[in-house]
Amino acid sequence: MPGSHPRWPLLFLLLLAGGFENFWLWGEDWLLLGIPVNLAYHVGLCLAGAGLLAAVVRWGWPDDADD
Amino acid sequence: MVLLVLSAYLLVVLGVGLFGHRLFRGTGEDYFLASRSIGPVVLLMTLLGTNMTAFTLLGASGEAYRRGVIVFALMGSSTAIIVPFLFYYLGIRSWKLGKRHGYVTQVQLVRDRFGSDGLGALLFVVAVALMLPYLLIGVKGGGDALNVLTGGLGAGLPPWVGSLAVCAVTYVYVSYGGMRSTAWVNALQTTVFLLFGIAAYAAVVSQFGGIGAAMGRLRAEYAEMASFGTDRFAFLQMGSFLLLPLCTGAFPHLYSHWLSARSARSFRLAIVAYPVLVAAIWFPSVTLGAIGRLQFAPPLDGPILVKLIVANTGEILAGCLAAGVFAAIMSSLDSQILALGAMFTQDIVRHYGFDGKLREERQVWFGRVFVLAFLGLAFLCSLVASQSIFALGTWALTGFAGLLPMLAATLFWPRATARGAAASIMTVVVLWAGLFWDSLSVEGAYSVAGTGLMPVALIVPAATLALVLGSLGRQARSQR
Repeated sequence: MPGSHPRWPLLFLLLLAGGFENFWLWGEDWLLLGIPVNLAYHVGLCLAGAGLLAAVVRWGWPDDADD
Repeated sequence: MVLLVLSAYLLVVLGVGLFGHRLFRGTGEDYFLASRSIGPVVLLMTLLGTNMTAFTLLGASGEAYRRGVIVFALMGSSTAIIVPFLFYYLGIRSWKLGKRHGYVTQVQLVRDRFGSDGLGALLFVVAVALMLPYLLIGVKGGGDALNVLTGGLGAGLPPWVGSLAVCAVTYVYVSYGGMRSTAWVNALQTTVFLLFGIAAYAAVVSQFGGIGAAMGRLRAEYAEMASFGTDRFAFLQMGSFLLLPLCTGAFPHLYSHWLSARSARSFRLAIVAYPVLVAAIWFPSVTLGAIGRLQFAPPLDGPILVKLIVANTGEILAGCLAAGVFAAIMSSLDSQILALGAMFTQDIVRHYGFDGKLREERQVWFGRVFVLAFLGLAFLCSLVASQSIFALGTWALTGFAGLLPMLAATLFWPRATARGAAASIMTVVVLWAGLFWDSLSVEGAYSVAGTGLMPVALIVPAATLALVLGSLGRQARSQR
């Protein structure tokens, strides 16, 4: 099998998946920045995901991807 | 005015699509994969546009109208989290193997990897069958949207007119220009529905006194729509929806787009920017759907997004919204029908005896006829389909998500065998059919035995288990 993807980015995936289940906030309906706090949390999660993926692309790029 | 703006937009789309044909090199690889020449920006826009359908604009806003802002998490942030990792792991490896061995379709990869003709045929049948409800989302969405937009809040053009327009325009530029036209048009359409989505959001929200005021009212009048609720099944349901975006890794049309990339490096931009752009598309769709409840009491007769635009903005913006909705629909439909054409041409016409006997142009012609017949079937089904866009979409996505364990094993698990892969696909087929049948007798949202667990949460683990059990004790027949 070609390619050598590192496995550590899967930890980022697990971290984001864990953060996805924000059960401690589910019952709250107060507003943060004008939107419900749960919605604001998940928008933040998307942005955090982009940050972690930037790290994956920077430090976890398979060496032989373009061979 | 709505029809004027929409017609002008469709003409632009046709123009861009037909221009792509001027660079056509006359080979199957150029028609189906643009000679593997797509760069990072067009790849990002086309992957995004392909994955954002009528389901995103109309289905999500409709579901947010019923359930509130939780829909952003269920479908938006789950997609933003999972899909880029699929690009990173499956996309890059698929691209590399595709380039090395000249693959155009998933079936070629699977057939080659396991050395099994029957397995390839099974995957072809299941993937094509699952494409029908997925295609139906777009065809039906186009009809529903045009119906409401042209009629204001009364009766408009019959839904079949919009459905037919979507099918006809998409078919023309895809069959004429292939992947190059599809990728260019997708990039244009993704830009259009991003910009029009933001414009529609700003125009409607300003009518409510801003997003803070609108959400404040929503919280006061429908508190349950502003929170995620305290349902004891919510944890299972949220987890289930985290599995649904796995379908992206199994879509035949996404596979085609992966293979069309110029290099593995072209994926970098898509991997990083995807979560941000997904949030930018889902946020307006979900918030508008939720605050629509403040203006329109249930039951609702038409897409909430369209009704909000028609009621709160002028006709030009309504026309722009129509263009945005059509852009979202066509940017998925074009990739889907191109992938279907590629599958029929490569996996059936070429594989079963016609390779070498027919010129490549003739083989592509067979693909065009197959796609025309398939689109015709989807159009006919759209006339009688009664399920909501959200329900239709969820079932199609569930089926594709079930295929992911087998496809991931094809790329990453050397011990996987043809027997295990076939067991995995058959498990998906049996469970999907059984649960779908069961859902027909249930009113409202369906979950497995009323537990809150979505069918996908049962199908994906079962397909994985079948793959592992079926493969145990057998060595993979090919290490390719």
